[in-house]
Amino acid sequence: MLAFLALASLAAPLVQDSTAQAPTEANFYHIDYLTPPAGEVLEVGGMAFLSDGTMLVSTRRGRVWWIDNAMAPDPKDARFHIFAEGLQEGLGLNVVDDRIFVVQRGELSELIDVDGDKVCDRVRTVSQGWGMSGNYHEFAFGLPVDADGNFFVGTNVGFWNPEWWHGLSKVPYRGWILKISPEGLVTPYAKGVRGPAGMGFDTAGQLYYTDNQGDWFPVCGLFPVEEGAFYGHPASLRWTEAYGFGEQVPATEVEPTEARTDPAVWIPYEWSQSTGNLVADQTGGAFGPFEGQLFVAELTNGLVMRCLLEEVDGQMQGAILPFRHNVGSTFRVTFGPDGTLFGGMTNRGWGGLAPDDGIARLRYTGAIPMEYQTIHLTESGFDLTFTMPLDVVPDLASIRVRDYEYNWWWHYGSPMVRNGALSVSDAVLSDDGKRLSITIPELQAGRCVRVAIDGIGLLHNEFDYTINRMPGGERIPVAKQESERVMRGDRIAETGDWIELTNFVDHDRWWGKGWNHASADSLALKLSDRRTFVEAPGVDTLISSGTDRTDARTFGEFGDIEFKFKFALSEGADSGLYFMGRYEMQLNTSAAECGGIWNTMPPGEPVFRGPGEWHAIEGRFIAPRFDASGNRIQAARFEDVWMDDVLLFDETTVAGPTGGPDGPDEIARGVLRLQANVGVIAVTDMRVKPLHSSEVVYETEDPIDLWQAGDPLTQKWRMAGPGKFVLEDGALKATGGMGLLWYAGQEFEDFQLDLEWQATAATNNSGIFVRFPDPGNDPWVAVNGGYELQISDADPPKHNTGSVYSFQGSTDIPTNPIGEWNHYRIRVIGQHYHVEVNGQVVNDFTGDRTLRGYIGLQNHDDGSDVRFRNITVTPLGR
Amino acid sequence: MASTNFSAWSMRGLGCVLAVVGMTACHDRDNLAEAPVAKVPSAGVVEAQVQAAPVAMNALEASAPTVNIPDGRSGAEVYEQICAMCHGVTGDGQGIVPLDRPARSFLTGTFSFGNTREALFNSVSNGIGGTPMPGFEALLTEDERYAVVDYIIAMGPEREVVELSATVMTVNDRPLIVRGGFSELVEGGPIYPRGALLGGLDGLSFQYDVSDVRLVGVRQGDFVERRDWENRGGDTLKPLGQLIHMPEAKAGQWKQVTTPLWARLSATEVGKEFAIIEYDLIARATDLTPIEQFNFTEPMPVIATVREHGEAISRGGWAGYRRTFDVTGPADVTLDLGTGKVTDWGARVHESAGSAEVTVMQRKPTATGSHWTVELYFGLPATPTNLAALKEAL
Repeated sequence: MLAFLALASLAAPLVQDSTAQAPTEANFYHIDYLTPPAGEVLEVGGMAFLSDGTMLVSTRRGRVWWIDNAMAPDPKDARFHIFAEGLQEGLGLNVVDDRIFVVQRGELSELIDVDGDKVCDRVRTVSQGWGMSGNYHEFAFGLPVDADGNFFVGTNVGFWNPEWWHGLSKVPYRGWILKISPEGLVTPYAKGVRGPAGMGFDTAGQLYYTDNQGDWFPVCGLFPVEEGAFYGHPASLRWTEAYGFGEQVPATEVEPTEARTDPAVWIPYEWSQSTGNLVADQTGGAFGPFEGQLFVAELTNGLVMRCLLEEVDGQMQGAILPFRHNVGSTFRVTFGPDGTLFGGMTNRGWGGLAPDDGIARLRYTGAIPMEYQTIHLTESGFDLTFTMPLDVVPDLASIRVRDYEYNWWWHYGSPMVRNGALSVSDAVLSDDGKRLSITIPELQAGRCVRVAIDGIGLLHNEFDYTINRMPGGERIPVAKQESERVMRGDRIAETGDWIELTNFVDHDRWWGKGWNHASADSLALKLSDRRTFVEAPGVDTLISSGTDRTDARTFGEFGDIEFKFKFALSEGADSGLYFMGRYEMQLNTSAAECGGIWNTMPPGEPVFRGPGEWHAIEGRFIAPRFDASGNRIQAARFEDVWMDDVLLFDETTVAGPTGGPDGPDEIARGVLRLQANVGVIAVTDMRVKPLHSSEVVYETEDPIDLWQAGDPLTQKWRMAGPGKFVLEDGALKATGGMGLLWYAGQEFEDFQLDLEWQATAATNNSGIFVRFPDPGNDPWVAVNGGYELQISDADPPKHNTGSVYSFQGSTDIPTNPIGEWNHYRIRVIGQHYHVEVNGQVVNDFTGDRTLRGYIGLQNHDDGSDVRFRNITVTPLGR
Repeated sequence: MASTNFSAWSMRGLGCVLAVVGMTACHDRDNLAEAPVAKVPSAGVVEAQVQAAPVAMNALEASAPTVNIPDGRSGAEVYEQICAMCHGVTGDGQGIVPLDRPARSFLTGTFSFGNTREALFNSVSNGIGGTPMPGFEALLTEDERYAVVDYIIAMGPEREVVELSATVMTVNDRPLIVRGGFSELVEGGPIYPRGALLGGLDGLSFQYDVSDVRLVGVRQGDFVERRDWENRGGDTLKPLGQLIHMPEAKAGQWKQVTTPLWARLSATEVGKEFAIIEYDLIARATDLTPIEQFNFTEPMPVIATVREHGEAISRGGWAGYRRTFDVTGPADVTLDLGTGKVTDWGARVHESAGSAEVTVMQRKPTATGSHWTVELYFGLPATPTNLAALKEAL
């Protein structure tokens, strides 16, 4: 018996850690802050040191500060004066042979003190080798310098409303890493970049850049900078040969085909949402026991992270983990000559943890923290070393491992997907107690792995390792292209059963000659001949741009539908959309006609704006009705037809087929037909929602046995909360409670769940949970996040067998006598929950919770000995 | 060619999906949003809101900050009705709706797209593509969206605000140069994403487009306000001087014989007396595609180099400014001064609206090239007497 958990208990304090006196980060790394001059808001963009120890700091306000005594024991002893001002930002600064270089928003410059008064008099232009449109988000970030004196600058894409999360490259080399020689020659070096906020070298001289989560970047990542590399964001490709060096604009929502370079590390969202730069520890131990490792700035969460990379068969990859929290909005990290790690902070408009600006100093106290020292992927797991030897081998149960991957798509970021727990089969400690080898049989490439070891006193017990490649194995990207392309508006499809007619990734729902598939984003009228379009191949647009054309017809036939589509016409085009192949909505370049029904109803207002413009039409079409002998008793009609949010006409009856019908007769269901008449029509985002649900056909996948005989905990099942399930007579018996046995192997979206259960008393209480998030050890997550299909013959409505617990009662309880087996079938499609007990439909429920999640079984209490068996899930595709 | 209306479809639907969790009024609101009702508030209402915002800046002072908006729901009401389901009543990101990614906590003041009012308004209006965050443009009026933005900002820690006085740069005892973008000088004119303003001790400032080192405006008065310190950056500078002259676009075009030369910035320098701009003159085709304009993979032969500064002048009742160029390079490099008629003493006169612009150019050979002055006087009618007075003064 479950009730909604009160909100108050959700907010209850966490259980106090029994090791409250355990050392904290501050015991090992002390933080203090320099004191800028009064009134100065020091928004750090770059930091470097002259050979005499002078610190130089560039700011977003276009100043460069000269700081003496930056490493003084008392931070108040640091002395600031303005070296340069009036620059156009300064998001990167470096010193080469005591010459000072800064990257402004539009220029790489050398700052020169001509007269030796420690104030810059001359700003020498090294390069202006990238475009600026004036968009606010066109930052230029830097500024690493390689051994040959080449500078590297990363250029942010611009953001425009309303779909501002789709970064665009409207001028050359936005979304690139540029290599700039000391003489100012520019090599467009690597592309596919979105927000390259930071860069830095490892000790081997390999350069990395960090990108910020957003479209095409599921989370922030650390990418090796290599000539010719492509990191995943399509905008920059505009300035490549494949796109005519600017002639064509890459689509914002279509996966580019260019081969991607994987990041060495994807950084989990919970740790980093705005990654800054990175620096390698080459302090010779002055900064503690992590010589050679990378420290990475994180602005949003205000911490410094630690990154341990290794090369596996030529592929850079590795682990990342938190290092020091509560620093502030850290955008830049760099080491001072004395081994102090300086953190440069800025926040304005970007949103990070306070302090919002200024300069932090992280200093090693000399005490050795208990930390992972090295993390090395093996063929079967990880070899881990620690900064101090272990006394005992950790219990296998204290090593928690899960893996997951990301979607690579146009959406803003990606959740962790196909997230599941992995079993650790062995853990071996070396004789000296320093090396722990753990075996994880299911480890595979193309996954991020989260490992946490409890109970051995680690200051940070979790790391996240990005497996691009297993030793000896193939390279598999962690961020994977979705097989089913996600379109705008698909959230509606999830809840309303829309059928997409112009999503050509997996289906072509049209037939006809002379029609091509294009990308809507690429489409523009040809300047030299506006009767045609310039188009790029794509998967979201149907366009009549071929030769020897016929009308295009859908394979499917429809009756009453709700419809939506967008169209664009070439100059002088005359086309139309025939409903049921018979009733033509005019689509031509006459504003007085476009959107109207041929010979029946003109548009209420002229909405058509002109050739080359996209227009959106939506409305309903109601098919004619016939009596038993086939006589028409009601004519076809349109209802509520809108174009670009203007009502074209309300209810409009069509007397009969309009000009050029597929047949003179009228029918109950028919095709949609696009006319190839004069000129070119392009149609995108076309979708229909049949007003009779029976017209939606689902395809099924093979059933999955969630449980075979034996211990479920060895079969990706996990126990959350009190009690357990025991094996009895080939079934799983619930004991104790209240707990949850859940299948951690995968989440399910649309599916049919079949299982058998047996109760031992009418008062037995149990249930099946569907679509809940990862509950960890908390069974209440399933209660509050998913739905429960109840098992309890004796409880009142809404709480008895067949009910969606506490939401909707069952219509009947057709269970077999106590002691006999019963069959539950739960079909979940979109928000529809269809429930059968022993073959009888007992519930049809419309929900509003998440559309995917895990499946689990409840052990409710000690007296409810309910058994389960034959648990299968059949995923349903659409 | 991006779509405009599709987002309205999807957001309307999604708004309803979320809203049914806690809003009984969803259906009505939905209809409201579809009805052709004017939703744009008057400018005065928005103005009032902007001023009201700082009142609620410190959430610690009031447990329930409110920003009341006439004829609409307050930020707190909107928040509780719509946002709290995912973001939690207290803004801690722990709402009752399960999401595939956690909703943002507003307590730390951290945001993916920035913590400016405009950035948050964007997110509230348009949503964040591909995340569970929908746009509420159709569901909330503009007033309501701004009100809830202020409410959300007030939940986070207090932020330092750029003081207006700190953003003003003033020329004192040495010239100043500021780099930055400029807005258009005349309505419909071009913007200048890459600009420089050179401020002299005499109160004149010279505004350049430094992508091709072209003087686009001369100003008199205070120097500059740095609006690029606001928001996320990239805002244009606001020169404070009054625009007293805009050179014609082609006046200042360098040529070698008849070949146009591109001026590529090499430095700006603050000297004791003047702010100086330096550039290289390069023969480059004029009909370049965008990418060809940024093709810097090979060194470009420099025909000549120029060091230029400007200053205020007055003579014979005329006032204006002088540009001085030190050109290092061949003698056949010339400067095109644009339209106007040449008078008997070698100046160009351009008359309009009863006053004249008189351009006087002098060029003297030097050991390495030429020394030029171009003086521009304006303000008086171009009568023979006035012109004679100027000629005499020269």
